[in-house]
Amino acid sequence: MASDKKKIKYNREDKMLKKLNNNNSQDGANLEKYWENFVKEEGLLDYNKIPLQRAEISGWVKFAFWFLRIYIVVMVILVIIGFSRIH
Amino acid sequence: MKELKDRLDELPVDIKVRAIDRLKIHVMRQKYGYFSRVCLLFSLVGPGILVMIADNDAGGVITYAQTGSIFGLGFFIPFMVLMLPVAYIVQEMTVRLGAVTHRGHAEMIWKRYGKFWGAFSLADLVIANILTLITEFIGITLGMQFFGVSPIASSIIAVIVVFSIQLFLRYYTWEWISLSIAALNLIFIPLVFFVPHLNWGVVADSFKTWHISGGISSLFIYVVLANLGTTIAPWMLFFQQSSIVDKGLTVKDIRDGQIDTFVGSTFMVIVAIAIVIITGSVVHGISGSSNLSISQIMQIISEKMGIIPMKLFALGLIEAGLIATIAISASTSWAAGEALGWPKSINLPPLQGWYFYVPGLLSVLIAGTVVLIPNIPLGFLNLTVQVIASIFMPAAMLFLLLLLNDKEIMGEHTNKRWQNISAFIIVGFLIIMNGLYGVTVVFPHLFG
Repeated sequence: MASDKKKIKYNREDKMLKKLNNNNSQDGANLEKYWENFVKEEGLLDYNKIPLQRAEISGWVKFAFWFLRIYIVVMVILVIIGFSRIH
Repeated sequence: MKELKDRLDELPVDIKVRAIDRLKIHVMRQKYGYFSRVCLLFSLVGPGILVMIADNDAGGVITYAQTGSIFGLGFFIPFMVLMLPVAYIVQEMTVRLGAVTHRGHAEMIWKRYGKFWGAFSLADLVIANILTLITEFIGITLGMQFFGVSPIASSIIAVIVVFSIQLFLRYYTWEWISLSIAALNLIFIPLVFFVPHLNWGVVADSFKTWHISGGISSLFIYVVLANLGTTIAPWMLFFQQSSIVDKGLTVKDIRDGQIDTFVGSTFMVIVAIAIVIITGSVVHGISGSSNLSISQIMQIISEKMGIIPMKLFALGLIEAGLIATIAISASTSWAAGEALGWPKSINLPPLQGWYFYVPGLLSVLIAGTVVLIPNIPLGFLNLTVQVIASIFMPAAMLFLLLLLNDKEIMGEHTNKRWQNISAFIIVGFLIIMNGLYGVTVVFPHLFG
């Protein structure tokens, strides 16, 4: 049963690869040659291993973050008042 | 051919499955003609339709039903139409962000703005998601009761269905099964034609008059906020971006992702309007209609429209809860994986990626258990969901806007001026409505 499933899965891959090889268009036919490009273009990479630089917080972004902090504090106070009225 | 297969085998298992799907897209892209273009579009759509229909969740259906029964056929019909561009503008940004960066929303916040904001967003999302999942299970168990299924049995069935869908399917199959379940959401649309003596003239007039039954009151502000809250929710941002990444959409697919989001928004709004029309016509105006539970509303639907429309409504409620449970639990798993740097893909086999599935499935299990507690304070729970979402949404939107204006990561795909203006108007409206609601909590009689 398990080997049947494996067979089906492999058939699906094989069918797709065969289709890809029969494709006469330039990119399709030469995919093996352009594999690295394909992987990069399609983002088929482990992005956990690619570091992302931290954003610089300055100018209006700094202002936005301060606004967010104040907004959260005000909303939390209102929530506490609201919930205290329920009980 | 063998070499290509070997290269595929070199990739991690989740990326390998995605690569096979993307190779199919690559082959489709080489073909010309309208039919091929349509096939390509059908292969690329999914996340947008799914997120928008899942947004019409059990809580959403209950909100729309109560909105119609309280305010009738008036303000909220054109208001729902207004929600189409709101939902589209917000969600479209996640399409570009996901397609350009290949990273989820939680990962972007965590890595670009630091651990504090990353942890804040993740904690907020997880808490809001668990509470929302409880409301989904309330919808499922309530709907199943109309088919004679006990809450315990329906909760267990729902947990098993969601576990099976999440654990054993690869992304492509998961998406199509989810979309098939989501299609049932459209059941509310034909129900409109079961409404006895529906006056389409009144529906059309609502676009001219924007009439608010009872005028502006704290209840009206609450209902506006509730409808806004069901249209744009924090989990939606996380879900669609992660879904775009897991599906493997790239900058070439942005256009199709935008079409997908627009189609989804349109379906969402049509369903919402259908529910408002049904309850606005059938329930509004009867004594006590401003304070009815969903069970009472369905009872009235049964009396006035018949038992079959009521059962179809109940089926819609079950579907709404189920599809939202699938989407919300997936968004929890993706967000946790992104923030904590785990492999995060629905393509992962359950044994290899069990830690990816645990956060989402655990939240489903908690919700499925909590809903069975007798006399659960439903009103309090809904209020808490609302409050957490209200605090979190402007924050989530702010991060989205910051990321979409970040040239370093978005390059030429940064927001255009009109997109920024529209998004700022939405955030501003959200903050004003939240503030007004907060003021009405402190001064309950301010608006009468």
